[in-house]
Amino acid sequence: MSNSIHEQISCLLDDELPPEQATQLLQQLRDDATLRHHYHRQQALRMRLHHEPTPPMSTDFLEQINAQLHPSRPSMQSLKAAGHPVNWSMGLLALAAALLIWLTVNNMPQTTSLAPTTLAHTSSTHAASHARLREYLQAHNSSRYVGRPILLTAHR
Amino acid sequence: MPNSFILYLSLVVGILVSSAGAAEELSATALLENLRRTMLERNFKATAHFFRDGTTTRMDYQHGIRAGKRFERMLDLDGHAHEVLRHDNIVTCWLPQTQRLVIDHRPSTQSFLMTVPERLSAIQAYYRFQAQPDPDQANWIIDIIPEDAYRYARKVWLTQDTYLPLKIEVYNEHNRVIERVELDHLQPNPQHMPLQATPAQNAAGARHIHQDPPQPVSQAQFVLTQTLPGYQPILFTRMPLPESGDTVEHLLLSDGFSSLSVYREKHAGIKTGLTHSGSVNAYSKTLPDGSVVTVIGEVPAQAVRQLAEDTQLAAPATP
Repeated sequence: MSNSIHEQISCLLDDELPPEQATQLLQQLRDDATLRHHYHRQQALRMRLHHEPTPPMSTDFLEQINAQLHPSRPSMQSLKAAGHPVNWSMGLLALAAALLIWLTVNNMPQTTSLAPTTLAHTSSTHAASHARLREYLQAHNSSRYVGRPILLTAHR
Repeated sequence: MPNSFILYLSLVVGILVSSAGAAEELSATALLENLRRTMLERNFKATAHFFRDGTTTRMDYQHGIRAGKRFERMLDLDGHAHEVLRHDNIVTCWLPQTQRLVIDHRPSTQSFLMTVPERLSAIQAYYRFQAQPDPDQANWIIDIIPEDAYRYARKVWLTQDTYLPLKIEVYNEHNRVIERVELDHLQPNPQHMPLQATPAQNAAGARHIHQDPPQPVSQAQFVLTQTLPGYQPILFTRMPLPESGDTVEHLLLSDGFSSLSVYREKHAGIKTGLTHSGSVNAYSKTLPDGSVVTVIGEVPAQAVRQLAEDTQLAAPATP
């Protein structure tokens, strides 16, 4: 693992990574178990330094990354939390159907794979919006917000 | 009983009650004035515990006056060595982990702990002040109660003799604590603080905020059709944003205790609507020319929404 990746993970935890790089790193985290392990260790270390309770190693971390890359898609955990029972046989059936559709679509002429582009675009839009609000806050009150990760979320 | 006697009795009771209320308000105002003076004259240090956005940060805090200029220094005690320094009216932030140096030439606040307005009488239409002795600790407690929904309530604990701040709490519209600063190990600080705590070699790569001189508010390409009651313009400037290289218009407003900023830029890339985190609320909307205006600050959601709704494009200048 290169020092550059270490630095990027550090910046991601500090909420200081530019939006495009954040998207790329999240995708790498999704695909690389070693990298994910390193991310968790860094996160746990920081929590201890801040005297905050260390979160247990998350089993749904991949889902969290996917949620950040594609915020509109509900996760399995959120469906469970919302009281929707998870029907595994239905899930397998849906997976088979999706595979069939994918094969069909990929065999069609003039196929355009929109999903990755849309996914990356949505993610970078969110990240860019957060990054800009962070810059505004730093100029609004530098002594409070410079170097301090803050994430503004939509009012419910 | 003759009616005239009852009338006189009511009058006397009324005068006594109103006098007692006036005395209480005067006392609270005097205590706030003492706090403001303390923050301009005294050297002290403490460990400050900042509770904001659901997390607590522990800082070594020093406050001092040298040659009539105020110094403040905060050093993160929880491992990051993040350092914030105020020298007169310049705030410098040094982030050793990322080797970032940020210098704000016109910070919005006068103190890292709390800003106390110079003319309290000017804001008494927007805040009510009440003082009471702390029954357990022999300190003073001052309630700063807003008269409308455009600002948060505050409560300040002061030492009884020296008027040093011990605790400051900020409450949201549901009377829940959303911020707290608590000072312990409070003591006089006779030492001279370092003038520049940050390595000088990093100054070349520093990011500067508000470096250009302020401009008249009339230069802004947006107008406020109404201003929020009690909020006065403090600063208007155009500044470059380091990440994008774009320029943004920035108007800072304050009522003395609370402040909020209005930003307008052409390619902001900001999602419109209301967002929040802890005491901070922000509201963004798109103007007819496609630019985005964002109002942001440590004020209730109603304040940022109202001010954003009252922000419009300025009419083009006539030749």
